[in-house]
Order: sequence, then C-alpha cells, then structure tokens
Amino acid sequence: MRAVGNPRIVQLLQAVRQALRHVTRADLDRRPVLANCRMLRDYLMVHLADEPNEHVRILYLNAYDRLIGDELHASGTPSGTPFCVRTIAARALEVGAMNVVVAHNHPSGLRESSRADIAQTIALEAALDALGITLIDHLIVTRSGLASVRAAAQALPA
Amino acid sequence: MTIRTLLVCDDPDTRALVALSLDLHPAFAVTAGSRADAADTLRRRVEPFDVILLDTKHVDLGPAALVAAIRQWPSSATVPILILSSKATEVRSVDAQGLICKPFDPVALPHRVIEMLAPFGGERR
Repeated sequence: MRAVGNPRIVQLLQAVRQALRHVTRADLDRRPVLANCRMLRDYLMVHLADEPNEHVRILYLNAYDRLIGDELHASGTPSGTPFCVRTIAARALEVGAMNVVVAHNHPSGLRESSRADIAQTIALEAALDALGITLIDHLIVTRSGLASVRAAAQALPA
Repeated sequence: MTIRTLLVCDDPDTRALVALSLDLHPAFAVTAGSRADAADTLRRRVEPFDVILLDTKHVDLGPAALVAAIRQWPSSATVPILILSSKATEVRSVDAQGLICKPFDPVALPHRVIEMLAPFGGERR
C-alpha cells in the first residue's frame, strides 16, 4: 500500500524530523560544542540544510565552549541574507559569550563562499576580536554538508 | 511521471524511513532492499531505474568499491547514483552524481532527490 497523501505518514515523518532536532540540540546542550565536530554538524544539518530560504543562526558559547544560546539572527531570500556585525557583537557581550559560531544555509546547494560571505566574516571576526571574543567559524550549511567561510577567507591571496 | 528508484541500504530502519519518505511523494516508485537484494535485482535486469539511492553505512566495502560494484551491471551502468552518507569527505571523490548528507529531513527528502536529478533529465517517465 502506497503512503502517498497519507496524513498519518506525514505526521510520522514530521515527528521524526522534530525528534532529530531535539536530539541534536540535547547533544549540544550536554557537551562542549567544539569537542565534537560531528555533533555540531548534525545539529546544523537538521536545523538549516533543508530550509528553502537563507537563515543566519548564531551560536553563542561560553569560555568552556558550552552553548549559551542558539539564535536565529536573520532570514532572507533563497539567495542571500546579510547579517549585522554590530548586533551580533552586542548580543555576544549581552549573553557573556567568549566564542561565537555563525552558520547560514545555501538553499542552492553551492558550498562555495560568496564575496559577501567572506567580507562579512572578516568584518565580524575583527569586531569580535576587539571585544576579546573569538569567532570560531562561519559555516555554510548545504544538503551535502558544511563548508567554512573562514577557511575560504584565509585561503585568499594576501 | 514516475521516478523509478532503487534504494540500496543494509540497515532496515534507515531503509524503511527513506522508503516511506519517498513513497509519500506521488512521483516515486521505490524498490528497496539490502545490497544483496539490489545486486540480485540489477543482475536479473528485472526493471529499469531512473536513480539509485545508495546508503554507504553498514557495508564492508568502501563507497568507491560499492559504486563500482553497482556499475558492473549493464542495467545500472549509467543510472545516476545518489549517495546517502554521514561522512561527506569520504564520498566526495566517489563517482556518484550526488550526496545526501545524513542526518537529513525525511519530509524534504523527495524534493531534494527531484532537485538533484534535474541535471540528469529528472523524471524519466
């Protein structure tokens, strides 16, 4: 028997999705976020990879890399979402963060960093650094995995 | 319009979830089985497929060898293969047409597969 259009099957799969989101968040809450890259990757994949529009999420971490909070910073179109360096820096100070991870999705599936991604990452890193806060990374989340904007920025010729 | 899909996965729970997810979309006709089942299906050329979804977990072969094993049959030599894996870096160099990174959203999976097949002609029939 086909499952097409079966509302109970839809509910079941939605429940599976929700469970994945809860479980991956619980993993992040239980341990230092940066101790296990797989844990962070899984969390970002289930929260961002399948979003049809770009979303920017900011993970604020304390000095022991424990998660203080994960906040949706901005939502945009399928092809772009600017983020506000000033707002992120102010919020990091407000919550007492010592480390910050930025993540946004590329609904297009492209893993490459745009020039805007790189420019914003450089600006954010400089602003946070002046406040004694470390930008751990800015990650692009696609359906085929993660890519680092910070690594792309560092790979640029001086 | 039907996308004839062969799902190859040795883990029965994952296989059931993926099959259920695809079955929810009217475009998919899914044949799901273990690696041994799939080899038998492809060897006997029971039916043509438009896409093969290959889960690379729980197998004794590496992803590249697994793809090569599937490509050996005339019935699957040119069929697009999409890999399901949690180890993106291990499979990026494999001769497959796409990677679906685990964990994935089971609700969004059918649309994701359709999008990934678009460059290869999408729905065949």
